Amino acid sequence: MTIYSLYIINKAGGLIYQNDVNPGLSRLTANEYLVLAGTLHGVFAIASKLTPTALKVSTPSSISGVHNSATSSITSSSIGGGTNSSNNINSNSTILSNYSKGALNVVSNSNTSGLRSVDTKFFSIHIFQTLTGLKFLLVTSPNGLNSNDGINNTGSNVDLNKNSEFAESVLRRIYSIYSDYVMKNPFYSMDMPIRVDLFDQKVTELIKTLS
Amino acid sequence: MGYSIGIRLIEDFLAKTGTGRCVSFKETAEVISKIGFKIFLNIIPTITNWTSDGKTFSLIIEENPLAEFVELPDDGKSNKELWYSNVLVGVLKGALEMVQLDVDVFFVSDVLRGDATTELRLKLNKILKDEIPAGED
Repeated sequence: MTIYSLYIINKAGGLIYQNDVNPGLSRLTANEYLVLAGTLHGVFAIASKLTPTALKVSTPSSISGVHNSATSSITSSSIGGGTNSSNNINSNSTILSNYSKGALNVVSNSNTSGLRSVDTKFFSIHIFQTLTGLKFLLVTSPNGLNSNDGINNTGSNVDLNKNSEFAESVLRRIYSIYSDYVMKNPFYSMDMPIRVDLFDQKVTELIKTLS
Repeated sequence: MGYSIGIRLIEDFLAKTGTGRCVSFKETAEVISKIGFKIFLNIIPTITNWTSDGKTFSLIIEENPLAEFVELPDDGKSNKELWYSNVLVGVLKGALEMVQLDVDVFFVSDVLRGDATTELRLKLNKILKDEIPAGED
């Protein structure tokens, strides 16, 4: 799977980052990118309303503090890996894996009923949404199609899952880079377009290691 | 104070821990104490003093890294007016607001002022349901 492009959309639906990390896609005008981002944001919201109510998991509708019997107790040992917030992705993943041993569900992708991917014959878009409402979009080569990793052309569900899992893991790592190099940059103002060299660099590095 | 730190730091927290949305405020309390405080300050405050409606609780901070080696000046005022670690209040308020929880956070006692404990109180006002991003169940 080739990763062509990365978009970041803020919670209001504005495009705050667009980077063609690998050549392959045709360029749009700046305005068209904004329209694309806004439209996807809108479609995402409406699509989530389409979810059949019967299928919606009956989650407690409020967290008003009613003691849930299933409230998990998180032992301090379950997060033993991280004594401080390190920038190293590896040590983060140990926090993550240790944490996942706890009873809590680990889903940093809050996108459960929204649009997850859009597929065309020539590319796929994968969508990852954080709890704060930020959306990370990855434009990749189509699901079930080859590129350089030898996925065959059957387009079966297995390939589909494999691709979206892969895309999600990449997006999760990009989220981690975002939190380190954009959120911690004092010159960046929230919800504004991201012009941070270090972020560009780290994203490019990450994509390079993948291809 | 600390609010802007909170709204940025929450992304770091979510990205690194991969925590999902809490189903109860009790769970939120556990996550704040055992994961949040643990990874950022390496302490685990004790959760106590729940009100019966389950909307307010206290965090007792036994060893406050911010107040290590700190003594308030003996000018008669700072003991009454200064909450030395008030930055934590803003951080919690900002961070929780970003995950759509409107809370009031305040200090009720501080060992620096001569109190027996350092106690931070969190009160859930409401869940900002309208602002929960689309796409969540």
